[in-house]
Amino acid sequence: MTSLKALITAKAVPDPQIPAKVSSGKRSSRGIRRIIDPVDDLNAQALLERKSNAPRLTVSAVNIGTAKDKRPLRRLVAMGAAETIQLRPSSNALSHLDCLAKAKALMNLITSHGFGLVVLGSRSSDGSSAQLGATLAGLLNWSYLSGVQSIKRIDDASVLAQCVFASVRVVLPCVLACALRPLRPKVITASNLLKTLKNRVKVVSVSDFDLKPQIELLETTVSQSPRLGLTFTDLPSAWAAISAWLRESKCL
Amino acid sequence: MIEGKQMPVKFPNVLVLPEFANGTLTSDARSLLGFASQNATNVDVLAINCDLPSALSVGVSKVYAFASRTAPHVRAACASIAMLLSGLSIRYDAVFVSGSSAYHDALCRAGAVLNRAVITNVFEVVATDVFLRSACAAQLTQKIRTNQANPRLLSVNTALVKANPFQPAPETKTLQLLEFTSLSNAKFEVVASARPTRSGRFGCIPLSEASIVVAGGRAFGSASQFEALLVPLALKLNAALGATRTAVEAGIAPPECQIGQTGATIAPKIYVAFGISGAVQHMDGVRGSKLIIAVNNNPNAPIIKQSDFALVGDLFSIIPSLLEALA
Repeated sequence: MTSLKALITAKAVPDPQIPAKVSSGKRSSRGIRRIIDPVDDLNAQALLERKSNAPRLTVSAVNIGTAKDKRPLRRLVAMGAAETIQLRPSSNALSHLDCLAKAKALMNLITSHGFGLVVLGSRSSDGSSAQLGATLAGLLNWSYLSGVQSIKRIDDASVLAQCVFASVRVVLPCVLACALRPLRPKVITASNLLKTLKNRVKVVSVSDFDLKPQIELLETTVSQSPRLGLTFTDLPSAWAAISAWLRESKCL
Repeated sequence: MIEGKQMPVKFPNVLVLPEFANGTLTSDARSLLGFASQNATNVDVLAINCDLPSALSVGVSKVYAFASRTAPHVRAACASIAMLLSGLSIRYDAVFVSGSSAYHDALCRAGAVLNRAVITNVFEVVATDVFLRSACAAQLTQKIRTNQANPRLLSVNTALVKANPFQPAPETKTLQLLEFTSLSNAKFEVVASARPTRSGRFGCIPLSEASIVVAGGRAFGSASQFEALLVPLALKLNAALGATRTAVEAGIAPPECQIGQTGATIAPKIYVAFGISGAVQHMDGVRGSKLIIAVNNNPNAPIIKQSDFALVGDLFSIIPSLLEALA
């Protein structure tokens, strides 16, 4: 295999296990640690595992974020990523950047650094828009495949990927939206750990003006309408309560 | 947007891309068309994965259909569909697709061509430039405004829309046939095509079509337990089978049953979860459900608080009791 530069996206998000909070019409992350999105983290682990069988594959990671996102990114270097790049908007804020603006920032990085394979998470835990991959592929005019569950093989010209219903061969260069699972538990070697001291996260500033965002966030509110939350310990009582609810609501 | 001027609430003309299954509109597509009818004066349809009689049966003022013998594979032809869509959409004020359909990717790709950011997870149109969308696994609602010129590209979260049922007109007034050539064949090759699905083999209806879904987690322990307990229950209730990602990865449940952040997003009338802990990534896929019922032997499982009715107990005794009661 000739050398292939792969790029993984690593989105930093508030810990998704903690319910989202809102304060003054904006999402509040106060007291909530920021981590790499779990889907991106697993993608990174799985792709770095593959690297051991493909020495010519170099894997780098990219994040679009602010200064507070630098710390969680260092674990990607510890996991074995060749480099970690943070694209930082000139305003040091992310809320106004839509996916098209982010895709434009990534496109510039990908073309300038010569990446040939881009692996993104299928859907992030905070945005959940599942659009960055297709938008990026459209800007680059590359092949695109979503719903990838595993990468079977990477050769000089193509990637063999497994989706739910089919195995698909996609010609390189390509963008893949993935929910991969590593085969082995994560291992951080001592040499990789030392690399985190030497290989800092490389920060690249991008101009918000050049990206021309098109979507403005006006207000954020909590949307979850509370569920009834009724708990039972025996089936007959639960059955009676559910039947009564169904009759009253005319649900079925 | 012109400062100080109220933007209209309804789009004058929208183009909708509904999905078809076996020649009929999916329930997701009907929700999308209902949403479009509510928010637009005129609705036209681009019918892709169906034959001409099915396209004509939609019942809107204009339908675009492909003049080809076989419908294209939507995922494989994503780039070509996006190019076609980018040309067609400039005649319209907005384009609507369902966020859970295969057309979502084509719309995003068309957005890149048109330099339009796709507005995703939309469930309400406040004005033609202001929308409500869901975020953070549907925990938050965001009110957003766009400064884009037309067409606005909307990917709709049909699980959360509150729209009147779509009322098709007696007949479609205009049918326009389009030539379509897939450009993507050289870049994309399906090596091993779809196998008959395990859930389909049992006679269970697809997830996207079901009013009732019964789902299981890793607690079932094995595929044989999952099938022995849940399949009869699903068949009895005329329900679809669902599962968590961990159950699918452990080989307990078929992949097409996966629900959640990296699986299907569903909005059935009733969702029954057996042995599912209620992780955020899974609950993201079921928040649109009208009624959530959880069965779990752990009274502290997160799903207990996220459900309407929860039964704390052992699913291996509860399911047989349920089957007896239903018999």
